Amino acid sequence: MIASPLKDWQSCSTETPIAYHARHYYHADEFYAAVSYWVKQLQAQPFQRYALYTDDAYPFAVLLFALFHAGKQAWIAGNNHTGTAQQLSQHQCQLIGDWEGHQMFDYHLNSVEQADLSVLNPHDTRLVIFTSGSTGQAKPIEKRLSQLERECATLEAQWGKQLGDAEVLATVSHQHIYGLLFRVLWPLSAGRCFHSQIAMNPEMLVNAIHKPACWIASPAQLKRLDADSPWQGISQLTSVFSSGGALPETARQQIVIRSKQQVIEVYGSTETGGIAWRQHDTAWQLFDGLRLSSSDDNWQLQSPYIDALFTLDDNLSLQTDGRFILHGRKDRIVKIEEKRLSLTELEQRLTESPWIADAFTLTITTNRDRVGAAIVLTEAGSGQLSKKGRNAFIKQLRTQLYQWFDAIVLPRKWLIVNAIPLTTQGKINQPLLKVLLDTDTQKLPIVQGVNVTENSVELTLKVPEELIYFPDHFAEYPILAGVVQIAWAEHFGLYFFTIDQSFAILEALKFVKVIQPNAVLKLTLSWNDSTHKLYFNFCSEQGTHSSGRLVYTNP
Amino acid sequence: METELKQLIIDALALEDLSVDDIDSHAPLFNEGLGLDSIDALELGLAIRKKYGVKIEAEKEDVVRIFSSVASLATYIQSVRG
Repeated sequence: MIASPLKDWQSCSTETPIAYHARHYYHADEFYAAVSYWVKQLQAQPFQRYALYTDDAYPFAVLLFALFHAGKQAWIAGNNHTGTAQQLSQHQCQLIGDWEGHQMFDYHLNSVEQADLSVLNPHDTRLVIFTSGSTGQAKPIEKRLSQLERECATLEAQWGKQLGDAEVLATVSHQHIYGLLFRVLWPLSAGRCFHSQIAMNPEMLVNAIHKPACWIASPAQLKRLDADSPWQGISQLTSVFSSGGALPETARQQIVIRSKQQVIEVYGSTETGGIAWRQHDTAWQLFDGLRLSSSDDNWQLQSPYIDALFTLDDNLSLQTDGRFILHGRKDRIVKIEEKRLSLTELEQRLTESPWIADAFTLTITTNRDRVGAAIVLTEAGSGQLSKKGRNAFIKQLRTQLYQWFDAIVLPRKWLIVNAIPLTTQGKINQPLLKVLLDTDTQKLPIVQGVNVTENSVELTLKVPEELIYFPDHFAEYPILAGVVQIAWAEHFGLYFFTIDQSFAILEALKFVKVIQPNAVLKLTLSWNDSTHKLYFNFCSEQGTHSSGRLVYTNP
Repeated sequence: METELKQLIIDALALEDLSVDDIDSHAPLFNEGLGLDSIDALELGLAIRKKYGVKIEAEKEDVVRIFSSVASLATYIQSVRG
């Protein structure tokens, strides 16, 4: 298959359909007519800039090329939320496509309009990628058509033969650079048919295979495949691509074992486009025509897809054969299930709330990536919290953040503290925050709040239902055993106080009221450094449940 | 069934700041509703498959409709299981 430049897409073959959309194959003549229709519409409008968002990839391609031919600027939005729409309006963008809260958009895909569309000038034709929210202060990143064409040609030279005339299926959005290139521009330039609709899970993707096909995937989907996934269908695919983050080794192995597919991983960014790829290897291979050089601990990329040298945010080590190993990000940009998130920006947005005085966020990686937030409330915030209750209060905070961020990156774990805990060196005590935000709820309570004063600490704890202690204590009437309460007191005591002595005896134990699953408790701990005694008290709205002292002695 | 599904949602997605009573059977689950995202949809789909043996493999519009609320999810699962 021969790649035809995107500027001259009109000359592409009429046999292969351009796209499969709404159960119909759209061919070049239909695409031409729909683009023509929109060129006329757009030319009649006085606006220069358009913010483009569509649910499906084919209407996206129609509008994108219509904007190109009408001489308008296309700004491609990362999502269609109202906050993003507002930001884009501030950049003088007109909204076009499927925007949240707007009427259903009619794409006129079956138009029979015939405009005279000339060849595009690849140097003057540009689009802007505006990945809002998750990158914080979203910055517009401009790409010239010539650069995108060059990248498509490189991809085609690398994998065109392997793909042949495979149809392009995807579980990633075309509104981001990876999907834009792999789902839309590369297939268009290579004359491969792309499926317009995003598949929401592997089953849907496999059901859409009518002919030889490839899968434009991401680690989020690939790492969740399991024994019951549609392996038969996956094994039929010509290729599986993955980008947006590293694919865990266990996921890669499972895919090889169950489907014989060797996933092709692509490393890149919105700013740079594709940088390197790997398949069945830990080292990355630069794409043809790209070069890396180092200066002062920074790696700089020289690429035909960008105008100037670009300094990478990642640490890497270059091997003698020119390939390299990636070691992760340098700054506080993290990836949550492939969505890029600036923790700094999230904290800024949090502290813009009148309820929040200070905030610190971090990532917690268990079976999925989550964001945890430790927040210090203002007086107004404390008032709201006691008025609304914790669940409603947090729900409202999440709603406020949703204007700016994708739901995936919003904090899932919240800890209300009276001050962000610091280490003795005056740095934020991240290990402590991680411990508090990510307790093992089979054995420990969920920590909802922490109030630290000079020699004491008050923790707000929720007793998880799933504690392994409940089924035996007792099956009919689960209550929290006294010994577990003492163990919790010691567990948290050791994190907050410097206790060098060893535990000796218990004193003045009192168990007053039973504690049941889902109870919300205050645990007050204080440490007397001269007597080496740790005082604990569990109480709730019902009064004190238990109290006592753990006595430590010098060995 | 709906209460069971709400508990499944809370457990599968570790939504510890929610209880069964906080989830309205008819409120949207995604985005502005309960605030769930596409990864949640994927994980919830897996949890439903494990618990009820029901695979969600409809067309996108139907998937969106099925996942639109706890009530619609319950209706779908019951219809598939017969």
